[in-house]
Amino acid sequence: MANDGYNTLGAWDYMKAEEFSQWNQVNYRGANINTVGHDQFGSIKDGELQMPYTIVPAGLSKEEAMARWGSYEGMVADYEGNGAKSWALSSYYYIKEILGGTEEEARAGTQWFDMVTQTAVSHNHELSINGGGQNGMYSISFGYLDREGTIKESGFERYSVRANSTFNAGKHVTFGLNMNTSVQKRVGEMGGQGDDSTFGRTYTMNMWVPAYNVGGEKAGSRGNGGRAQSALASIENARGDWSRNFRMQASAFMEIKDPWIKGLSLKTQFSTSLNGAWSIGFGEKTIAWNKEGTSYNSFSESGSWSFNWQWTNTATYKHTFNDDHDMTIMIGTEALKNGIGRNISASRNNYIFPNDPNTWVIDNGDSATVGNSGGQGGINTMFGLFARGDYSYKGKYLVTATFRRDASSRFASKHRWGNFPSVSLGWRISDESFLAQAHDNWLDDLKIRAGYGTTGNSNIGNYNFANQYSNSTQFLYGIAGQNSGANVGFSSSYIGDTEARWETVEMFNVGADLTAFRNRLTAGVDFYVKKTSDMLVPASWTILAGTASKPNVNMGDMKNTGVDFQIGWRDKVGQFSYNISANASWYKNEVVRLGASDLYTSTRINQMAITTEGQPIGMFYGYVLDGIYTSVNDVINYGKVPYGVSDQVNPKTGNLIWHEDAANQVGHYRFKDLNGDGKINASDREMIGNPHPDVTGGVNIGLGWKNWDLSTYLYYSIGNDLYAHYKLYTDWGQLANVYTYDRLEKAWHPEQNPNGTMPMFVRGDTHAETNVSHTGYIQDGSYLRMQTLTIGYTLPKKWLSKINMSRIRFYAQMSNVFTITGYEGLDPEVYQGSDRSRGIDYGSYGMPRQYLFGVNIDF
Amino acid sequence: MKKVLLYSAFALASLTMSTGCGDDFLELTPVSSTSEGTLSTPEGVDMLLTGAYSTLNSMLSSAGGMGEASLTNWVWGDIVGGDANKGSTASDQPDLTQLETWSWSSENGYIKNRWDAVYESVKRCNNVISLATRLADQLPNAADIIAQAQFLKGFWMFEGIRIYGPAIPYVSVEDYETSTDPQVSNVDESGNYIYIWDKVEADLKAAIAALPATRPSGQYGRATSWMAKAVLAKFYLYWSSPYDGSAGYGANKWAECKALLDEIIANGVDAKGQKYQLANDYQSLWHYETSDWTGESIFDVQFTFSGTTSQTNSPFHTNATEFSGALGYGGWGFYQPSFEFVNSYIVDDAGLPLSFAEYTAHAPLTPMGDINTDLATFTDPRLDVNAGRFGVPYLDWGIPTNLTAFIRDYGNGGMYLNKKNHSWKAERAGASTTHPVSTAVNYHIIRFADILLWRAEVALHDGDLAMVNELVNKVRARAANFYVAAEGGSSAYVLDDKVNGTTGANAAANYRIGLYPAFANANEAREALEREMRLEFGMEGRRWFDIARWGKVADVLNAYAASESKYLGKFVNTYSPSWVNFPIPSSEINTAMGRFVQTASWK
Repeated sequence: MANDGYNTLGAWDYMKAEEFSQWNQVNYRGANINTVGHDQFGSIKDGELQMPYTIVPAGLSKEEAMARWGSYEGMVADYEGNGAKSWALSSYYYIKEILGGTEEEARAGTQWFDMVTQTAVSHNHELSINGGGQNGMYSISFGYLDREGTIKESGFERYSVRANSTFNAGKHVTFGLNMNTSVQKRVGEMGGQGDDSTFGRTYTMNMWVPAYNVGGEKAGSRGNGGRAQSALASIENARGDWSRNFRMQASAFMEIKDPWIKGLSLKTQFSTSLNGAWSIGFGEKTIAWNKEGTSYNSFSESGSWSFNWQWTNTATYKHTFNDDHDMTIMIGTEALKNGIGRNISASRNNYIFPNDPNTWVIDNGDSATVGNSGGQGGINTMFGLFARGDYSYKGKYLVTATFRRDASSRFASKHRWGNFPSVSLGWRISDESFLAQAHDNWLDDLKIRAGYGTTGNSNIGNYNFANQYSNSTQFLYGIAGQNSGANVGFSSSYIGDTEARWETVEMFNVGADLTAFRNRLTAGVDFYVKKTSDMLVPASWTILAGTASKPNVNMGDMKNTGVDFQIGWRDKVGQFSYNISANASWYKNEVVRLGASDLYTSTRINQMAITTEGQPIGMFYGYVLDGIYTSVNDVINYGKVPYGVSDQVNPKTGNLIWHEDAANQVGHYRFKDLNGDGKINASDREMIGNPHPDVTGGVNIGLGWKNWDLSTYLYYSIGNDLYAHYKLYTDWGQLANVYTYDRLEKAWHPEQNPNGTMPMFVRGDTHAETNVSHTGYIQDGSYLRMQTLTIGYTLPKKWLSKINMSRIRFYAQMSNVFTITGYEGLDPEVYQGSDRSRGIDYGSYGMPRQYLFGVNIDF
Repeated sequence: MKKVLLYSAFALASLTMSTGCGDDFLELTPVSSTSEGTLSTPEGVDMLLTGAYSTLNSMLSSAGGMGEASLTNWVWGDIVGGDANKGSTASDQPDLTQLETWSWSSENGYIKNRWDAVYESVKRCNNVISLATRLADQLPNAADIIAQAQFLKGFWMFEGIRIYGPAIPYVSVEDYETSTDPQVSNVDESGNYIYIWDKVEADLKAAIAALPATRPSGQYGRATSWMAKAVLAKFYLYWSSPYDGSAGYGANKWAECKALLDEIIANGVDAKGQKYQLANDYQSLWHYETSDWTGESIFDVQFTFSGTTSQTNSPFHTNATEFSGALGYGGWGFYQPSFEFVNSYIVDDAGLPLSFAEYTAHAPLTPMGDINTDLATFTDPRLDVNAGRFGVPYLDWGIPTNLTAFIRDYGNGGMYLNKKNHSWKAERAGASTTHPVSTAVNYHIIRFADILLWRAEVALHDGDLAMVNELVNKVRARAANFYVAAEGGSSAYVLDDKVNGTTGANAAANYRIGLYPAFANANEAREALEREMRLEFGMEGRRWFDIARWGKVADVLNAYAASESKYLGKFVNTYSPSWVNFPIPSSEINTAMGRFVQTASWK
């Protein structure tokens, strides 16, 4: 799959579509073209499309522009970079006359996607050194990663050092130290999603907008092309901006073995994590191309640090009775504190040398424009007690029981503690005498497992329990009736819930593992039921509770029932070795109980997903499309009051208003009247798609012949729906900027396309379909993808021994090799948000295909 | 043995240290915020009250970034009501387009955000009332604090009624104290709507009883009993208004309304003790040097510059209504006066407004796509205060000439500019703010002209046509005292002042204004009064509310659409006569699980 963006209308085709749209408006909407026309889009005269010379000012033809400035040079001379006079040619003239492009190139317009993407190169190096002896061990590794982004001007760089060492102080005592440090640098935008990302701007800004205007500034919304700034402007603005992170995780432990009795071991470990972040960003003056832009440049710089610690103490006792009974008992405590830290940032405007990053420091900005802010991180603490016992009889019967008792500062004191027991049982059935024959012949190992366990979740805001007030600027008022300076006010900013308690996950599972035919066959199956009780979700209250942030409250139960299955075969025939394995997972998710009203997920599209009792979490929700209204009679005969239209009688005429307005619906979607009340409104929505797959899994294949090896991994997901959210821009056009060829070609038209499946093409239309959720967004998201394909060659041992190496392997890997899918978007593997917003494709430039060449060297 | 001791000590130390940190370790208090306990002092309660007052100027972050929550009501009164077009581009802010073209549903985001603003404000008031009642013994002025909060609460619940109708949930202090999410319903056990008129009336009456008539220096922005009386008078007027005659609207409160209005006209004073009066000069009500204490302000939103804080100094809350680029700031270009609105200021030879049929038959004063405004046609001088036109000085910013710098898409928004609440260049020069629409000019929620014309409405109801004539003419006479002068000080245009029989020279355009002769009948008086309310309060967020309560919203707006659609193609929907309120947001009905029932017009 080539990621070359959506198939959006080229510049010339857009102009033609615009003419078509205007024609539709005149002939089917009764509009007066002279008053609604947009001159900057060009016009058709004598069957030939006349391109306007300039985009801004609107309405000037080439001749008029020439009359005004006399020449192109005159227009350039008239240009003012402060936005007062900023002229952009249409991309057609820009490409043809300034760049000297061909007619074909000029008609295609500005290729935004090509302009901001690149083939990126990345490299990764790692060096590890291990060693040790009687008194201790050490290992150190260094790493360096440099990855360019497929969006220009973006990239990621990381240096890392990892060091682990242990030291034996005598027979009983061991000290140890682990440390992992990395420094990262990020530039530009990577993996941005949604309409306002760099990629988003490639399909939300029209191709007739030129890359640059006559002053050499980047072009943008001054050309009425949609986005405030182009994708090109956003990557150029990001140049020179960076953010750096420093991260150090370190832990030290002391372990005492056999202090009083043999088999006992005491261990204490203290771990810390220290993080620092620093970033700078320079914002260009944008008024020259962005109608909503700024008339000044700006620079901001911010820094923060945070610190977490954790202290764990355990005592473990291991003993074997009568050779057959193995027993391990462990008890321990754990305490941790997270979120210690502060942040601060500052900004100034009006930099004199915006193009020189060396001058980008706070001090060089205009001191009258200083802005600053700072804060303190939220802290949470946790304390836990735990015990664990393992018992095994001859390795045949296995029992493990654990018990945790945890307390979190995020709950009010009465609900602070949670108890989480679990137990698991195993039976190695292949060791039983009645299977002795099979065990000797073909059955290597067969084990049956069953378990029941509980875990707790306290993943909520740090101060979820506390009512909080703030004196932010929105609470100021001029109590004195004054004209300057305001009085400080306070208001509720967070509503606490002292009743919130641990969310508990209970899991029951049974399973079996099999190894047979001399370890050539492996198989496993697991069946599980996972029940989440007292789910912690944001309170669903009416606004009578106020607009302050709401706490998470315990609400509802959810159940997951699933089966995981995996099977594999490996063998070697002479010089040829191979292995193949496959796995599959089925699960069924159900919200068993919801202690509140239905929960909705809203994006730019209101209430596009719903969580309701008896259904999987986060189901897609909306209206059901039922074709297109093809005539006034069709509207009336369909018999349903259309969305947003009155069902009342017009007292002046005595007719139903929606009959009188019927012409206005022609060419638009019919929504199904699901509740049968004769009118289309919010009660006519239902679950229109399921983001949960029926089955997911993967296949691994590995082949080896002499020194060559070949391996691949395929992944599949079947039966999940995707919400093609990007179609809000390309098909239904909330921003009404850019459409795909598809949208134009499928548009219903009474004469030219009476069987069209999309609404009549009228630019800037605001019918319901432009901003409500409906079945048009739902698509099957099933796919099969070859994730990686790797070929490797290991140098023969006899060569290596001469140069004192133990192994050298060269390899080449391709990732994202191919995808089989019926999904129309760029990539069916969409980013999965939270449980309630799964499967939404906001439009991303998709997974790039990567080629990797590497070498592993072991000394 | 020594080692055993050592190990034991280590184990014991670990155990005690790690278990001993129990409750202290887990008991955290929030950082960077304040608890209710900290605010339970006289100063704290006062600052919570200031937080309740701030709902008047600042619903920015909590509800509605586009100003739909703003009390200037430009979205509801002006855009829905046909004084203004949405502006910007056709597809920008589809929720606002739905409101503009009357195709909204209960899912509309603006309708939700305004609802949020109403109930967030009510919650802040209940918070103050509850806390001040609890701390009454410690507070030197508990009764005053409670009365101020009751005033604000009554005012906001009334705002709720004005937009969503009277069958909406009322949150009492007890409801607030009983449950974080007050379990209030808008229907009773039998499913009949609960109309909340009497509850809001009780709040406002309680406020009137306890509020002082004036305030000392440093407290001028606080509520007074006269402010509360004016809100109650307006409340009675709405209560008495016909709407469409459906249940829950309409009760006869004319006598109560009249008594309050007469009292305000006779004795009312502002917070400084200044007697209520019409400002001498219409423009001065929106001029940065004179706007706030003319004696005409009865209930103002006290805007103030506070550093770069746009929440205190932006009547529209965002860049939404600023022009795109023309004045050096990047606005979004919403809120443009309609063709029909501007033409309604055209006058006849006597300086009286033309009929609807006449002025809509007249060519638009500024033609489509052509900045050459017809300045020769005589208009009411208030036009160029209320609407910005090409060719006429725009406050002190100069004459607008660049079409695209002022208007993002005239094919969508028409040819006129919002002007009345726009800031002056001279005011901005002295202010340390970069926010485009910053101004300290108060927004007048109720001004004395409102009181006079409401009193005329009562007189019309009583059949006292002479009084209607007198009050309407009083407002008109003041309008003759100002006209926009030509830039550079000379022009051939004049103000033909039929009120005073004089002529003002060097006007920016031709203006004329005269007084009504005695009305022949009630219809004539009604027509004159309704026209006057529109001319006087144009672009002040009033229009839709008035035509809705008069029960003529569909007639007026469908006629408006027929006229406006000659220039802008988007007005194709028919306004239903039952739409005298907006629907309760569907998401709230869903969340309330049966407690909220959709209002009758939207079932």
